[in-house]
Parts: sequence; C-alpha cells; structure tokens
Amino acid sequence: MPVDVDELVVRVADICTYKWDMLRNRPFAFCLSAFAGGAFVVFGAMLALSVSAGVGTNLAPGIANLVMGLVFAFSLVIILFSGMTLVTADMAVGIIGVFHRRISWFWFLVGIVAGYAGNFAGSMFFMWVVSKGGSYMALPWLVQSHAIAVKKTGMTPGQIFALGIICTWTLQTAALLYVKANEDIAKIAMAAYGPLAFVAGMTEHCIANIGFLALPLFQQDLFLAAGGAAASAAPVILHWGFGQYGWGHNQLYTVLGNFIGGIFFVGIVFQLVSNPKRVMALYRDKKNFMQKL
Amino acid sequence: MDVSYTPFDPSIWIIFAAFCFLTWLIVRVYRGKYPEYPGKSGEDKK
Repeated sequence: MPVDVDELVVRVADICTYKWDMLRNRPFAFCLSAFAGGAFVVFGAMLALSVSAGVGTNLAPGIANLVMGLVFAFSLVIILFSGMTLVTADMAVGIIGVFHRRISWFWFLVGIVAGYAGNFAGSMFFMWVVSKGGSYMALPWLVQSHAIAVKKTGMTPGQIFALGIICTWTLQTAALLYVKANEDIAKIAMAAYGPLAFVAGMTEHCIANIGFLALPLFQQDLFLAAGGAAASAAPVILHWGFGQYGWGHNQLYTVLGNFIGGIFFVGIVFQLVSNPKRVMALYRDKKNFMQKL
Repeated sequence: MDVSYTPFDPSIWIIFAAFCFLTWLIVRVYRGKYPEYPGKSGEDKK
C-alpha cells in the first residue's frame, strides 16, 4: 500500500534533508550527482530524437509525440532509482523541506542553483558527445533535431512559460507519487508517467531542452551542408542568444515556468493537503530524519 | 499580433515575481498558523 499524503510529506522532507546535507557536507558528490542527473535526462532526449525522425504527420499528428514520450519515460526512473539529482525534482522536494524547517530559503536557492549548474553541465556534455556520433549526422536526424529546436525556440515567451508550468506540474506529481509508492513496480510506473506525460504533452523542461536545443546547434553546420535547410519550407538559423530561435530564449522562460509548476502546483499543493496535526504526531515518534531516494 | 522576443518580457516577470511573493507568503502564513510545525525535526535551521 502506498503511504498517505501525511506520511508522504514527511518522507519528502527526509529526502530533502539528505539532499541538502550532501550539498553542504559533500558538495563534490552533489555536483557529480547533478551532472549524472542532467545526462540521464538527455539519454531520453537522444532516444526521443532517434525514434521520432521521419515519423510522418500524415500518419497522425500525435504519433511522433507518443513514441518520443514512450522512450523518454525511463529517464526519471533511472534518475530516481539511482538517487541522482534533477533540479526540477528538487524544486518540489525543497519547498516541502522549507515548510518542515529542514532548510532555509537561502539554502533552498543554493540547492536549486547548484542543481541547475550540474544538470546543465551533464546535459550539455552528453549532447556534445552525441553530436560527434555518426548515427545522428544522417539527414533524417539532422532535420528532426533542427525541427524540434525551431518549434521550441520559435514560440513566444508566454507560450514557453505556460508549457514550462505544465511540464513540472505533471513531472513532479509523478516524482512525488514515486516517493509515495512502496513497491518497485509501482515506483517504476509512477516515475515513468512523468516524462511520458511531459514529452507526449509537448511541454517544456529546462534540462531536457538544454540537450534538445544544444544538439542541433552543435550540428547546425552539418545540417546546412547536408542540405537540411532545403528540406524545410523556411530554413531557420538557430543561435545561442535570447532572441527568437535562440537557446537562451527558450531556456529562460522554461526555467521560470518550471519553477512555478514544480513549487506552486505540486510541492505547495501536497503540503497544504497534508494534515498538519497528523504530521506533527508522526514527528513525535520519529527517530530518523534522513532518507535517500 | 505583436510579439517581442526579449528576455525582459514584463508580463512574464510580473507573474513570476507574484508567484515568488505568494510562495513566501503561504509559507509565512502556514508557519504563523502552526508555529510548532512540524515539531522535532532533528535538523538545524540554517
């Protein structure tokens, strides 16, 4: 049986204590876990690109989204089972830790910044390695990765922001339900639901997008040389900046949206739904205040 | 529709600032309502 929501928030607070204890006392281990977590996310991005290239919209407009979501699903499973760090999960975990007085606002922000930096490095490095892999230099994959990036960076700030909120709303709900579940199969199902929902739902995740957008930027010369631009109706040149079709443009508004989705619509909601008197009763008999994922 | 692709889109930043304030306010009100919450935590409060 999964635990109830009162026990869940206590479990999440214990996980928060473990995470932030690692940040304070073993910062190198924390950064390494964030690096690995960032790479784990873009394992899914690589697979999603691999299976979706060439899937025709004349078949059904949503089929490519479905196959991308199905192969992306295990990214969160491997992150949570391995206990690595994902900044968007830490947003929801950290705010519950703040409610439970496990961490201060200052340390909450330090954890988010450090988690993002590590995830950024892992995601970017993994996609740089992928960009050197011959399989992804073939035209169908160059065209598909470019098309994904054009779609993501071509949206308006408001559109990206809204999809960023939806992303962590679904993803962190799944992450907390992973913590709520007790059996391995239930945990796998809950963790897989998150990435499936956010990728098939065409939403925006900051760490996934670091990789999704970096790969076509790393390979843009190849794309243009291979005649990929000719395959598009209106060839678009991507860039790293904050203007339209820029990596920074998508990343900025995705991060802002992810913050609200994970903290406001998941962490705070679960915390406010829990019964404070019962939570305090649980604390009275509590001996261990730290739990590893 | 006139859309500006700037990192300083005022409506987004206002919404984000309002969210930050609201989050801080909710935690403050919650702690005010339950000053002893959650009780013995076993951790420091840095």
